[in-house]
Amino acid sequence: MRWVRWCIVIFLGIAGSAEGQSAAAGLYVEGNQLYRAGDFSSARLRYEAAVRTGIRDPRLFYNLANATYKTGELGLAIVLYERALRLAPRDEDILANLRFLRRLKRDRDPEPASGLGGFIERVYLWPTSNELAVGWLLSLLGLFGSAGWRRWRQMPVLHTAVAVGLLLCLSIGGFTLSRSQRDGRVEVVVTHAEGIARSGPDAQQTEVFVIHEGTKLVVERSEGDWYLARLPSGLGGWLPASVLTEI
Amino acid sequence: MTFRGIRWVVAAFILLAASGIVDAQDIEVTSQVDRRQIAANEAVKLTLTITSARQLVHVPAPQIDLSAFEVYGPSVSTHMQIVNRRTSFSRDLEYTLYARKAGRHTIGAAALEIDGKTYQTEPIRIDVSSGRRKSGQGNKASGGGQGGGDDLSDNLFLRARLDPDTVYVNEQVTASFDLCYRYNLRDVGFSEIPTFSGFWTHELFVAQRLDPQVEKIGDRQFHVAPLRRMALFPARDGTLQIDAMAVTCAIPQRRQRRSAFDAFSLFDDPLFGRTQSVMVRSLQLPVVARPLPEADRPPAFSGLVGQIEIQASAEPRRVATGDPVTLRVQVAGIGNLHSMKAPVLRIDGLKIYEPKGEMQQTVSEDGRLGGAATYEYIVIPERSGGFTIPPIEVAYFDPTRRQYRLASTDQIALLSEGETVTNASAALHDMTRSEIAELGSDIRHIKPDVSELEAPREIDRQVWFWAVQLLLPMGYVALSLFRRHQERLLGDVGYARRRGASDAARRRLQEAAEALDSTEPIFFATLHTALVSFIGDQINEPTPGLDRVRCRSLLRAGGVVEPTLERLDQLLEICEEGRFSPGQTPQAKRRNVLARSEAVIDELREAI
Repeated sequence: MRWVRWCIVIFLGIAGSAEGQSAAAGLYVEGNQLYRAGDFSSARLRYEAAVRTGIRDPRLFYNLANATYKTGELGLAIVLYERALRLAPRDEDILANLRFLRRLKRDRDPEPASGLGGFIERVYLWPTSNELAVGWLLSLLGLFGSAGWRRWRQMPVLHTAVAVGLLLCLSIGGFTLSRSQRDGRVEVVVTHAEGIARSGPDAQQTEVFVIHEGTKLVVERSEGDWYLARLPSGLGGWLPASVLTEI
Repeated sequence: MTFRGIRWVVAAFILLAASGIVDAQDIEVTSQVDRRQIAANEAVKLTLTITSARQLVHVPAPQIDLSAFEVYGPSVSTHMQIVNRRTSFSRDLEYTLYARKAGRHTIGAAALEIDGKTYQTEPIRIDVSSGRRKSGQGNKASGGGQGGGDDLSDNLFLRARLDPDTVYVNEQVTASFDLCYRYNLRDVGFSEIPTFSGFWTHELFVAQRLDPQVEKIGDRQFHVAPLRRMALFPARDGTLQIDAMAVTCAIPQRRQRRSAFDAFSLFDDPLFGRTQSVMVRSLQLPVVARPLPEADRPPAFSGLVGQIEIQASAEPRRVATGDPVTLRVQVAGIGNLHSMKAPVLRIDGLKIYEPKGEMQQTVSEDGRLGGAATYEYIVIPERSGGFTIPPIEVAYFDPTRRQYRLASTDQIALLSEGETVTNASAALHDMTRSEIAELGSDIRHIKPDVSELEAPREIDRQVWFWAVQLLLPMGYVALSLFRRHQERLLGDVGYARRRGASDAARRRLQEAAEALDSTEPIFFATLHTALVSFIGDQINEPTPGLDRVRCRSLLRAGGVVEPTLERLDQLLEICEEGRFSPGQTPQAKRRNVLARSEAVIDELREAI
């Protein structure tokens, strides 16, 4: 009878999940209707309720970001666009709106690198995490496939295939590891009008620089309610957690 | 005492004196000037000397009232003297002073506090005459063809000129400062530069070195070197003063020959001889700035005075509604274009952003400042249809015609196609033209309705992603082992026989079981073959040569225990009797023998 109980539990779980998904979709549609009617605050509430069901759909984050921007919260809107972008890295709408909002914020982002350096950076950032995972599996398949074939057929030419497979595997593995480390960084956005970065995790410490709403930073470490965060330029300082929101 | 001995004594003495062990003598501070009567453009050298018996480590800056003079320096030099076995140290502070105006001036008493004690010098009176002084070089120059007179100011002066001196407000006046001289000059440098208060200024020329032209001034030839040229635009009407510019320079002095040997003196060369420091000032000049006429002043006039032309272009002329059009307006001509403001454009149905302005300045051959100001507007049609950008006008005052004029462009037609844009009023802060063009006018619209929401699948969170990574090496290992097995089957007969022994034995036992109902010899022969063949295959021995004795000895060597050997031996004996003495074994016993044979084969499989 134990298996019957398990079946019931699994069925209820699936049914509950489907119900949550339907509820989230309903809230999403309601939010869209309110947004189209120009009631951005109410639309935002519906989208936020949909997010609280646990659904992580890029369209939901995108629409919530739109409503958040329309209600005047630039920094939080950037956080939400960034979250949407992590789920759908090549979505044109997300990229366009994020670019637009970055222009609106007070602190200017550094210009992207040009020339060979810029090209390498673009290539480095181009593949999505799913593409990297598939690439990694294919390289493994290539390596073990060529190695297995070599073992089976004993053909000298297959030694080269194994070497190439190994090289490919190491390259893609290293690339994937590097990207996963980069993608795994904790990033925050300033969601208050202004944040004062200090030389230590204390309000009495020397002021290092001031950043404004919408600026993205990478967190190196935290201590209490303070983050040691760094700008793309390399400039770093301790900021209170209250002015930051994690992406 | 030898010379070396004296040298050591002197060195020791100096060291003692330097370290202050020698009895300290009173410190003495004195001041003196090289002359007490000078002309207004001449310099007087003030030397402040601090003499002490020990070397002073720190000498504070003296307090002297030199407010009547322009002060250069001091230059510092130190000396040491040994007179009658007494050492003294002195430090000279030398100041170069130029009187600010003619008259009787006082160089104030210098006060100096050393080791808590204050030392003071006497004040010195200096008479500064406005009259002419003779230059030492001038005496000589008259014979050398460079100077015809003896007075310094006749042969060296700074000329200031205005072109013109009466203008309208914001009309250009060119102020030129030229150094006119008939001496060899050294170390020429700016001392005072006018502030040009009341003018908007633009520097047209600043001399990095003297580049003189010969020019006849009055009845004399002068070297005239342009020093500075400024374009000045009066910011208000009235009489505005241009302050004097001052330049310092050094005139090499020629020594009077006191003996016949002086003719060959190295120091008679101007490069090594004494110099006379001189400051020359230009005259202050008034500029009369007339107010611009009130009559007929256009409302759009923003203060530009000069002559200009205006052009405009738009690209593209035909766009989709909401797409940006770049409208470029260029104003070029003579005048202070900085005083002009970008034309304000307001056209219904077109959203026009603040223009980005660029200015290129040029200077005409006659020194008139001008250039081109380019304004780029981003124009976004908010609805479809045709639009007309009316003539864009810039009003200016033409000083030559003494009237206001309007420069205007041709009208420009635009065509916008597509749906009307909503939400076009984004807070664009300080976005640049290209940024606005890149982004349009607002964020993109929301995503459409969906029946279901779902998170994108992340492959690295799927079980199969990790299972594949595990199965691939396992598959390779399995493949390798299988391949190795096959290779051994092909190359190792013993291995092949051993691997096939069980299957062969099972097959033969099955044949024996099928032979239970047949004749007795056939059954026992089949069973005997099954046992012996199994043993031969297991230990890789030729089956035909295996009798009971050999089987027993080989299996014992292979580690088979004695009871098993005994049972095997009994079975082989039964089989041999059955093969060669038929009719003595009932079927039940044969079945028993078959079962025992199977058991023995199992035991042997385990044991070998």
